[in-house]
Amino acid sequence: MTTMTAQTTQVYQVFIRATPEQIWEAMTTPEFTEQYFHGVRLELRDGRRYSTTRNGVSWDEAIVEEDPPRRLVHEWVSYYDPEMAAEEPSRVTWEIEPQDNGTCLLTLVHDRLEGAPKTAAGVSGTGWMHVLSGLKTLLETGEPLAG
Amino acid sequence: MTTMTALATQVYQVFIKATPEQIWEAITTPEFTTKYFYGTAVESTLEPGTPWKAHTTDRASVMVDGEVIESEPPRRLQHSWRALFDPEQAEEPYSRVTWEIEPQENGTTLLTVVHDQLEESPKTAASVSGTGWMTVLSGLKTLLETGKPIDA
Repeated sequence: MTTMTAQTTQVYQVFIRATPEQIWEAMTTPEFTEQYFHGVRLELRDGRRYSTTRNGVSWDEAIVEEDPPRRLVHEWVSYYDPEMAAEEPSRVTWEIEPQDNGTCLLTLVHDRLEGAPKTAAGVSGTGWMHVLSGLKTLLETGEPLAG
Repeated sequence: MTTMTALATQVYQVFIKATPEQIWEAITTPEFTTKYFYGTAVESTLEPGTPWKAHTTDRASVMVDGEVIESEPPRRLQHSWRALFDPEQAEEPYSRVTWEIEPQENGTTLLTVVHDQLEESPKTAASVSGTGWMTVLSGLKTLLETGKPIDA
């Protein structure tokens, strides 16, 4: 994140005042995801994760592991950019860990980016934190982060 | 963060629905910091060269000791850092914390905390890595957006 070469394992975390079930629903329901995930509607269906952008562009990726409401692992290809889309698939892991104080720790690991340097650069910096910040705001206030 | 050796430069970020002024007030005023910064009351005149200290809530002892290096309200605050709550960390040299507040075009603000100069302070580096700073930033965001502490 601070180096010129983007890391091949990127870790992002945030604490959210919500239950694991609420976070899972917000991660996997299109009505929620379009409010914080760059406008993308996401759905899990038949072992695939389907994405549809506001412009109607859609694609899907393989789900590697699905363990609601604690853990979701899926392939990642940045289909929204032709150069990134040509790279090897990487992997995204979402982990939800309830804490003692009524909050949950949400950890997102984007790894296996060795064969996808443009994707690694594209998702580094503030990209994932924008998504996680928006998810937290939506769950805690009922409103999107950006008005 | 994922390696066994904690990084000597650690970067943590969060987007907050608040103005730079609100975030500045929340990071420099004890009434706010006690609600998200492990209960500590941060006291500082914010003049470069003067103390920056995080006291226990009852002001009985100092948890973190430092000095203001740079203060540019409401955009940038830099101070040194030495954790006194742990004797081993207290013996290590001062490290450095920089708060950067950058307004975005959509009414949100990006808050970045950089904790660096940790090369000679491995115990401090390990202690503040992992979820330590994200606990603070998550609590700060919740407080500003909902008016309540994250664990209330």
